[in-house]
Amino acid sequence: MTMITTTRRVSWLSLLAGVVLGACVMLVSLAQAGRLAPPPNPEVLVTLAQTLGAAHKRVDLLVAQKDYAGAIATLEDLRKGPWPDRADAGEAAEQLRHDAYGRLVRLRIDHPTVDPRTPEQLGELVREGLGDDYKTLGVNAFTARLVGLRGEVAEQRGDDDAALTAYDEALTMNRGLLQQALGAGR
Amino acid sequence: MMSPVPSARRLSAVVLAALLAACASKSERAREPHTLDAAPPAIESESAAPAAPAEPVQHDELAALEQQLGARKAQLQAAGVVAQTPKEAKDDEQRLKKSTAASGPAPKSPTKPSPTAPSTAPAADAASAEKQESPAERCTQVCEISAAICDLRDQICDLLTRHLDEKRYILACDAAIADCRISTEACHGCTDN
Repeated sequence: MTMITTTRRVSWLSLLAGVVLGACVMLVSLAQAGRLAPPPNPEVLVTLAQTLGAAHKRVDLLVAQKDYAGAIATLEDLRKGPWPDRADAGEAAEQLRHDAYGRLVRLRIDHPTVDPRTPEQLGELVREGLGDDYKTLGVNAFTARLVGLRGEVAEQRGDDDAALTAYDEALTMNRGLLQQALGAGR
Repeated sequence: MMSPVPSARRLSAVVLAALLAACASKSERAREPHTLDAAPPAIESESAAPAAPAEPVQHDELAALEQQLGARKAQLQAAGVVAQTPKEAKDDEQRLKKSTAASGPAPKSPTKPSPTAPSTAPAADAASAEKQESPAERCTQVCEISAAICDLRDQICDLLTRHLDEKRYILACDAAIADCRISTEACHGCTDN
């Protein structure tokens, strides 16, 4: 009886140790594979996406009414409002910021007489939108578009070299997106 | 004597399976926001451009959206999110006041006016590549990317007209032409199937 009890105790202990070790190894592997990188605060990201969704919808309506000033004001308001950073809501928060800034810059370029901005101010706007570490983000369409817009703004400033650099960078990003899209279908 | 070992094995298999299932579902949940699935409102809104509905309806909708925006912002603030660029925005306003007073013309209109297009569908987002997409969705995505690549080709090759003798511009234009051709073939190949 004593032997059986001892054997059972040893089996349970080794089972427990195995489970804990297995779980640790799995968590580390998943984290290393980048599959366990939840945003620190998913609720914030969801709220941000809903905010952006409402803003896009409002801009759609205003553009349909040719109220470009209203559309720009909506996006400016969004720009000046609260925006979570990567630490709050993960990389997606930055990608969504690039989406909002991309639409704002596009509107400002296409409607230069509405609440006018100089090319230098537009350049500042793009820089602010992209942030300092946009190159560390995963390749995505929003960042690629904003980088391309940086090229357009550089052209307006008469800086063709900077424009080419930006277009080339955007092209490289889109090349990556295309490879991903084609790879996903295989 | 031997019975404890097989039952322990069975139990260990059950526990491990449960643990794996729990971790997998947690991992899936954790990944969702990264795939920008949280963004459907943005996506839907982009494609759902109003087809000139009656004026009062639009006013109601605009007011409702404004309210919604205010509520969401309050939610973000309540969650402790602060404006990241209050200083920049403030500086920008000051710069604007100065520059509109001092500086000259507003930026010229682009030579090729592009549509005030809503953002590219996040379907093209890298993160969303992880999820299962239908062939049609993937095809749309490929063609959207191809359109973006060909637009960039136009912009790059337009620059060449001002820098005809500069190797950097020539090479960039050649590369962009090749990229546009390849991506267009991918788009056509996709839609033909």
